[in-house]
Formats: sequence, structure tokens, C-alpha cells
Amino acid sequence: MIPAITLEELLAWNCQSADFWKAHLDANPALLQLPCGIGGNAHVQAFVRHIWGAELVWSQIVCGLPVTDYDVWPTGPLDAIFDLHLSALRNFRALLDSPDTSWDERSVHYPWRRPEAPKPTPRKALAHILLHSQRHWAQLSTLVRSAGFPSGFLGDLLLSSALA
Amino acid sequence: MTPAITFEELLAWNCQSSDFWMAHLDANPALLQLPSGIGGTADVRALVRHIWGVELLWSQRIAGLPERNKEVWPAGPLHALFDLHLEAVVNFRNLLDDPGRSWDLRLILDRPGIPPEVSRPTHRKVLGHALLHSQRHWAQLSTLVRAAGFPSGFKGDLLFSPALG
Repeated sequence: MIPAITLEELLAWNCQSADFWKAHLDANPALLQLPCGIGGNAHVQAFVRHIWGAELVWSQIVCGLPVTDYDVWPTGPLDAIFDLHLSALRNFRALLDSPDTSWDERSVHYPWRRPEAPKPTPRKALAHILLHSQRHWAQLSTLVRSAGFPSGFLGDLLLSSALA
Repeated sequence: MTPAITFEELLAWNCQSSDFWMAHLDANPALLQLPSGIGGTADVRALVRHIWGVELLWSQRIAGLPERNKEVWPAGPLHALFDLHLEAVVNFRNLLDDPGRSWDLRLILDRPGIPPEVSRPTHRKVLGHALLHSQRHWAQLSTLVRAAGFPSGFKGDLLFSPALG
């Protein structure tokens, strides 16, 4: 057996983190207005929009669906932003459930890809976006703690039930 | 086929990130003194020590080697901290090169901060955790140095790594 983490497991971990932050920000809406700066976002609400919006865009790219432009992503409220994640999740699910996905074919074209950059495989693109969110949640955890509002986020894979 | 990221790929990505920060901090040693606060560390040097030291500790636990605890990790200089990572990589490499290894063996982690329901992780989970723990902290470090006025140019996303082709 080649030791590995399946994309199913990464998706489960991703959902746990998204669910945590949705609940935490729902319960502490003032956090959404904290200044941010990460990824060029002015505040936490915009940052969370970036995280979940990027998930949707990448899910559409990998599935070959029309891409929802950044300009039409909702800017709020939080429930509407979370719907970006839920839509992405449906696309990820369909992709993982399809027996026809060629996971190791360099077939993924994203609009901002530089000509010299190789096309990623669906496997790499999906892993990228699932871990993109985890890296940003780690940054958000630091951001809110530094602002005096520790979240209690346990973001490490070790503490997730996504893998046994 | 169940699509997955292999630990070989995660290890390659991990090493790329470590190599970036080793080179960047070597070239910009003043960054090591920036205040941190992440993971209870006082400054960037201590954060980097935490990242690489934890890699070593997990590698020793999975491999069943004697554990070298935090108290005896070097506090510096940077190259001595990087040696913690290099030693961990040797251990990870040996684990991955062992074809008879059972990745479903479990560690017993009865300690504060580990909820009982996740306190018996498989070696597979622990290795995944160890490799991704670093990536999450590098993302935080990237934000820290940029917020302090010293953007690093770190491209930490897996998309930008050649680790998965």
C-alpha cells in the first residue's frame, strides 16, 4: 500500500473547518468586521468570502462548469457566503462520485494560468483548493487571536475525525 | 481508484516550503527576532524551532525511536534548527521506504489537549498531520512577516508546488 491521504478525507476535514468557522462567526458576528489584509482582503468577511468563493471557482473549473465570477459572489451576509462553500461541496461530491474522472490527466485549465505553467491534474487541483482553505483558516485563527478574540479552533489534522 | 495525495508528495511539498524559509530567513536574519505569539512562541525563531522540532518529534514517535523533547532542541542558530527538519526527513524517508510498514498501527496520545476520541491515531494520520502542521504554520508565518512590513514572496499553495506534477 502506498501511504496516502484520500481526497475524501481531505474533503471531510475541509468541511469540519468550514463548519467550525461558520458557527463561530455566526455566534460572534463582530469578528467579521476585524481588519484583515490577508490576500488583499480588507476585513474578515471579505477574507472568508475569498476562502469559500475560491472553493466554488475551483470546483467549477475542475468539473468543467461555467465559472461564477468574483464580481457576482455575494459580499454578505455570512449565510450567503457560506452557500458558496456548500455549492462547491456539491461539485466536489459529484466529482468524487464520478467513475469517469481522469484524476491524473493534466487537463485542468484555469483562466489565470500563465502560459509556461503546466495544467494541473484534477487530483492536484482538488487537493490544492481543499488545502488552500486549511492554510487560510490557520491564518484566520491567528488573526482573531491576535485581535484579542481566541476562537478555540483546533485546526490540526491530528485533532480531526476525518482520518482514523 | 480512490484519488489521494501520497505521503511522498506531501513530503516533497513539505521540504520545498522548509527550503524556502531556510533560505529566506538565512538571507534576512532580522526576521527571526520579530514577535510571534503563534503557538505560544515569543518570536519567529521560536516559531520555526517549533515547526521543525515538532516534525522531528512526530517522526521519532512513528518510527519508534527515542524522543528528543523540546527542552533539548537547540534554540539556534538557524542552521541548527534546520537540522531538526533534516533529521525528521531522514526518519520520514526511512518510514516511507519500508515496504513492510503497517500504517494502520496506532499511537497512544493520552495527554492534555488531545480529545479522547482522537487519541489513538494511526501512523498514517500522524504522518499526514506532521507534514501538514508545518504547512499551516508556514502560512501563518507568511502573514506575520508581511504584516510586519517584510513580504516574503512565499508561494505556499500546493498549486504552485511541483510536488504533484
